[in-house]
Amino acid sequence: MTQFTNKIAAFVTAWLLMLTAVSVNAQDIEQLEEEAINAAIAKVDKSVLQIESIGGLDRIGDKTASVGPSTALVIDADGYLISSSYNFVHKPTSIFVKLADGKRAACEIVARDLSRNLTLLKVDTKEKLTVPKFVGRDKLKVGNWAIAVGRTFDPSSTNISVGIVSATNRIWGKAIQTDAKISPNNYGGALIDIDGNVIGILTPLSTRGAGPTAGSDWYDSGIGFAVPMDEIVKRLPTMKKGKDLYPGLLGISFAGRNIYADPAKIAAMGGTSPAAKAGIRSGDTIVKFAGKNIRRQAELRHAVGPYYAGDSVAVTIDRDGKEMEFTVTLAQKIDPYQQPYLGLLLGTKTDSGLPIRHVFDQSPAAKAALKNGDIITTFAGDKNVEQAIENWIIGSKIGDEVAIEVVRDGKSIRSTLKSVAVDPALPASFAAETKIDGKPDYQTGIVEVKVPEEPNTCHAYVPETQFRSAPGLLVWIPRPGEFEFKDVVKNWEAVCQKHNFILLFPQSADKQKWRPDEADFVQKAIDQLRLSHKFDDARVAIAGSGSGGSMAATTAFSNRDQIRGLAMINASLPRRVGRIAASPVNRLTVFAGSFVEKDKDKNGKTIQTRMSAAKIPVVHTKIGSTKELYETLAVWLDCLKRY
Amino acid sequence: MTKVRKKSTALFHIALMAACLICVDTSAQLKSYKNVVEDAQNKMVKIYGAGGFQGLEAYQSGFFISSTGEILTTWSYVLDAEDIVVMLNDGQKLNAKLKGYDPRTEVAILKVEVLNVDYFNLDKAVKLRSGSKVLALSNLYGVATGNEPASVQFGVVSAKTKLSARRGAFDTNYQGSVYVIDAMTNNPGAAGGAITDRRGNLAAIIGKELRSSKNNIWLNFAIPVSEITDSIDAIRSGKIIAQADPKAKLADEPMTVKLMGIVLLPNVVSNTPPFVDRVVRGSVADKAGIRPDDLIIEAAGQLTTSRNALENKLKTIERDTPVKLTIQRGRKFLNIEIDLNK
Repeated sequence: MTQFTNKIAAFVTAWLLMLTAVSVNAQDIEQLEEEAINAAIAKVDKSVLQIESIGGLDRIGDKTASVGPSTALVIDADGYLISSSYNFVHKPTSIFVKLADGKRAACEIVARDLSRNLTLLKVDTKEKLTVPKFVGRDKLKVGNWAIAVGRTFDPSSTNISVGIVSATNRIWGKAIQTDAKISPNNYGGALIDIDGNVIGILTPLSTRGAGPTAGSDWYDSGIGFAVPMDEIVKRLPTMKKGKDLYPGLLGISFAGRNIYADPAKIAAMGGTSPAAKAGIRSGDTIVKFAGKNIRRQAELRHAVGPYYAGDSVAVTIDRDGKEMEFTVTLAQKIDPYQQPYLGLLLGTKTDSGLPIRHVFDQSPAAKAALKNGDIITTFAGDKNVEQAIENWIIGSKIGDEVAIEVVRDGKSIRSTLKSVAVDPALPASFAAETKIDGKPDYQTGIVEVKVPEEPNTCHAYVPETQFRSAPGLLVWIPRPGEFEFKDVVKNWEAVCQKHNFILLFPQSADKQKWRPDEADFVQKAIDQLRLSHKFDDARVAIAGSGSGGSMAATTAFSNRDQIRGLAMINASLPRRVGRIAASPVNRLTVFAGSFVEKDKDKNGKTIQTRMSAAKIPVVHTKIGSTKELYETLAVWLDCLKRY
Repeated sequence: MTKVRKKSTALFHIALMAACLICVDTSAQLKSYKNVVEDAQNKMVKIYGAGGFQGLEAYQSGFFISSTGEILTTWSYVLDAEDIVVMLNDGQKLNAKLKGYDPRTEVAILKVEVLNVDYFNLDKAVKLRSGSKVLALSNLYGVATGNEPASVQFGVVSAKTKLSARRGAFDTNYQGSVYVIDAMTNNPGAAGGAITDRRGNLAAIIGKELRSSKNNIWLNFAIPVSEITDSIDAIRSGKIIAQADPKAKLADEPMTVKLMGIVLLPNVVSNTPPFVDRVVRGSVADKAGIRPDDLIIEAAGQLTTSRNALENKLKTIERDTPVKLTIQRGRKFLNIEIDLNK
C-alpha cells in the first residue's frame, strides 16, 4: 500500500514537474524577451548620444522647426558621429554632444549624404568613442526583432521603441523598414537587432520627395526607415574628407511609361549623360546593373538606389540581341535637355527625299543658304532622313554640328549646320502643305466622339480636304458651360481646311467648372478619336482660353507623352501641374497669348518665365482679334514639327 | 485484474486532479492576455461631460480605484459640467459627482453610487522600467459605446523621463516624471485611461494630448501612480488643493544680462543665439572672464537655446543669487559663475 502510494506520489510529482516546467517556460518567454531587449539596448548605450543645438531658424517652411535635443550614433572611434539631416534642418549656430561622462563637446558638420538624408559630425574630443557592432543587410529577415534607440528625453538614458523588420529593401533600395515607432524622438539614433547589433541609422525618407524633412510626416505611423549601417561605414573615407554624397544618376530616358511592366529600354539620353559617355546608346536595353538582373525599369531603380554619384558600376545592355558590358560612372547632375534647332519646317517624304517646306529667318538653315523646296537626301550621313533627324535631336546638344545633303534643281549641295536653341517665333508666311485629290477614308464633318463611362459630351470637326501629310489635331478646351458644336465649328471650319487639322471639342461635365481629374477624360477622347481617324502624333496640341486654358495645361502636363503643343490664351498656370521639365522624347512647345499688350499680360509673362526656366520652347504674343486667334493658332500648330 | 484496473483508474484520476489543480494555480500566477485584458476592462469607465464643440471632445476615460465607486480620471474641461455621466463596462449609466481635483498633477476623483465593483488597487500599483511591456486601456476617440469594453493597446515603455526636462517644452501644469509609451496612446478621449503591466497591475494614468515644443511632435505618455498618490490622498481626505502656479515663479528682483555687464547680439529673430556682443569694462562679467563672441549655452542648469530663452530663465533668478553660466568659446566649454555680490 505504501509502495503503491509512493508510486502515485512519484507519478504525481512527475506530472507536477512537467506542468510547472511548461508554465515556467511560458512565463519566462515574456520575461526573457524583456531581458533580451534590455540587454540589446545596453550594448549600444555608449554609442547612442544626445546632441543639442543652439540658434538657427525657428520655422521651416510652414512648420515649427525641431530645435530640441536629438540623437546621433558613433560610427568611428576617432570622434565621428552619424545622424539624420532632419536634426540640422534649422541650420543651428552651434551643435554639441553630451558624451558618456556627461561632458559636452563641440561638433562640426563634416559632410552630408543627400541620397539617404544623413549627416556626418566630427566631435572635438580626445576620448575614444565606442563604435557599436553592426549587422549587414543580407543577414536580416523580415520579422526579426528591431528596436529603435534614441536619446532625446534624457541625456542619462535612452528612449526605445520595439518592433520588427518590416522590409529590407525600401525607398529604391536605400533603406530598411521597421514598424517600431520612428520620429524626431529617435531620428539619428540606431535601429538594432535583438543581439544589440546596429541594423541602421534612423532617418525620415520618402519616395515622394527629397530633402531633410521628406517623410517626416510619417512619424510614429509604424512605417519607419533605417539606412543600413554597413553601407554607410563603406562611405566613411569619402565623407570624412568633407565630401557630400549625392544620388547617382545614369542620365537616361526610357521608352514606355509603366516602370513596373516596361523593360529598361533607353529611348533617349543627352550627349553628356554618364551612360552616353560610357558608350551606351539610345535603343539599348539595360539587362544587368552591378550584377543584378534587370527585367523592368523599377528593378533598375531599385538597383541604382543605393549607389552614389561618382561610383563606377558595371552595366550590361542588350543591343540587337547581343549583350555588352560597360562601366558607367554615375553623375551628380544631369544637364537639362535643351532641344537643338536648325530652323527647318519639313514636308512629306517623297521618293527622292524629304522636302523643305520652309526655312525660318535667321536660323542655322537660313545661314547655310538652304531654301524652301530643297530636298534633303542625307542627314548626318543617313539616307533614312526622317528617322535620322529624330535620333539626332534626341541625342545632341545645342552647338552640335550636322552635315546635310540637299538636292536643288537636280544639283546636290552639301552643307554643315550648327544648331542653336529653338526659336519658337511664328513665321510671317510660309508655303502651305500640298493638297491631294480624293476623300479621306474616315468620317468627315461634325463627328460625335463618345467616350465610354464618361458623362461629358465631345465632338470633332474633321475637314474633307486632303493633304499629302496626315492632319494635325487641335484639342480646344472651352470654358465650362454648354456649347452648340455647330456654332463653334463656324469659327474654325476655314482654318481647319487651310492648315490641315482636326478640331476636337471636349466639354466639362459640370457646367460651372472643370475638375482636374477630367484631364483623363480629355486624354480618353483623343484616344477614342485615334481609333476612327488618322492624325499626325507629332502635331497634337491642346489649347484653351481662361479656365479652359488652365485645364489645357493640366491635361498637357499629365499626358506629356501624347501632347506636343500647349496654347494658353488669357490663362494662368494651374497651381498643380506636376513637374515642368524639357524631355528629349516628350517634347513640348508652349504658346501664351493675350488680347492685351505683352508687358501687361501677367499670366503670359509667368508662363514664359516658368517654361524658359525648364528649357521648354515658349512663344508669348499679343493677339489682335478672335479671328486672328484662330489663324495664329493654326499656323502655330502647323509649325509644331520644326527642327 | 479488476483490482489492477481500479488501481490504474485511481491513478489516472489523481493525476488528472493534480494536473487541474496545477493548471488553476499557474493561471493565477500567469494569466493569459485575454484574462488580463478582461479583468482590466471591467475596471474601466467612460466619462461624458462638457465639450462637444470647437474640436473639444465631450468625453474621456477613467477607472475605479475602490469597490465603492471612486473613479480616478484626468482633470479637464470635460469635468467642468453640471452633469457628469459615467458608463460602466457593463453599460450601466450613472451620474457622477466630482469629489475633488488637484491642478498640479491634473488628476480628479469622481464618485458614483455603486457597490462591489472591480477596481485597481492603488496600494498594489507597480513601477515600470524602460522596455517593460504594457497595456493601455482607454476610450480613445470614443469608439467604444454602451457596453462595449474599453479599447486596449499594446506597447513598451519607451523612456522614463521628466515631462518638463526643459521648461516650456509642454504646455501642462504637471512637471513630474512620466512614462513615454511607444504605442499611440494619447488621443482624444484617452486621458484618464489606465496603463498596466502585462499582468494587469495598474502602473500609470494616461495623460492629455500634448505636442512637444522640443521637436513639435505628439507625445504618448502616462503619469506613474507613485507621482499622484499624494494628490489622491489629499482629494480623498477632502482637502482642497489650491491652484498651483503652473509657471516657475518670477523673481521679485530678477537678474539681467545688463546687471552682469553683458551686451548680447541684437535680437533679430526669435531664435537669435545668445552670443556676447560686448562686455562692459570692469563689470562682473568682465572680471569673471566673459569675452565678446562667447556663446552662453546654459544658465543655472538650463540650456539657453536662444537669447529669449536666456532672458526668460534670468527672470526667474533673484539678482543676489549667484548664477552658473556655461560658455562655449570656439570648441571649448567654460563654467563661469556670476555673483553680483562680489
